[in-house]
Amino acid sequence: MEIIYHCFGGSHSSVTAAAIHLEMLPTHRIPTREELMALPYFDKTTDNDFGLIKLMGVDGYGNRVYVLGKRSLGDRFSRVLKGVAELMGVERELLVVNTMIYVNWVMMLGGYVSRRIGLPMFGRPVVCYGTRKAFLDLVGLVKTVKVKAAH
Amino acid sequence: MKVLILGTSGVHHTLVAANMILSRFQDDFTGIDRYCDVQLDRRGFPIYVGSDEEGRHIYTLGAGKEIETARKALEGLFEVFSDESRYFLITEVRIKGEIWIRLASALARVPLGNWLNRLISDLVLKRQIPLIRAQAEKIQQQMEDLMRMDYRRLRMGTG
Repeated sequence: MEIIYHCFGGSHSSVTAAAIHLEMLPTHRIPTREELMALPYFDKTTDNDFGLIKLMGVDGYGNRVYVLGKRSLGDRFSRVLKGVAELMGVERELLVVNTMIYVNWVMMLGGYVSRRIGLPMFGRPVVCYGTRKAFLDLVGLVKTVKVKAAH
Repeated sequence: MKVLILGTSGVHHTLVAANMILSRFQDDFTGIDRYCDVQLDRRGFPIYVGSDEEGRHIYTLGAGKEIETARKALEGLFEVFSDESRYFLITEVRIKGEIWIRLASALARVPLGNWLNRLISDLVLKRQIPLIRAQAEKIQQQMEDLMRMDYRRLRMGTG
């Protein structure tokens, strides 16, 4: 199965969720800022990355896990991908997960300062703080996704 | 083969182009099924318009102002499912004044909005018919090329 986690920039919440899915982060405790920053793509994307489906890894069940930044396409984006997958006859092989629902305003502010304004020195500590605050919610989301993927 | 015509809206210029490809457009928007149906567009699913005599299915899809992001994501999805996307053509129809179409779509939410949506869309699209027709012809050419390529691949036994 192909699992795509998507958020606004494909840089923070989707990357964190994909990392939880791939067991690159611990789930019994909140990860440190260093652990978050060590993740591939975490707070490292540019404007050119919007819309690119990037492979994060393969989970223990052989599911490929991707991240994607969709900008302001909102939840409609899940339906776009699912609809096109249906036309290709692969809708059962694709799981599209919107991680925006767990994005808090601290993450938005930090992400904006780091990625949009281009001041990672100021934005990164803020976005990491926000991601740590949202972490347990993302763990819960990933658990649900894993159950869905198993069926 | 399936053809997906991507645009800022799936029920305005893309729908006109799809009807041109299917030889259904008679220089009049009133005859176009689901024309200006903004609610359908907002659902986000590809809209089936019809099939031509070769059995090629034509769909439209609206992505709003994030059309570039959507196009890249769909191309990425085709790479992920490369086998299944072999008979799939993704293409775009763009016009001048797309911002007016977006405004018309947004207006559809308010009272008398559907009437305004229709009025603005008609005004904008009437001026863009030659541009839409040129793009529809280009898409038809792409469809023919893809069919020829497939035929060649099958003949060579590499399909």
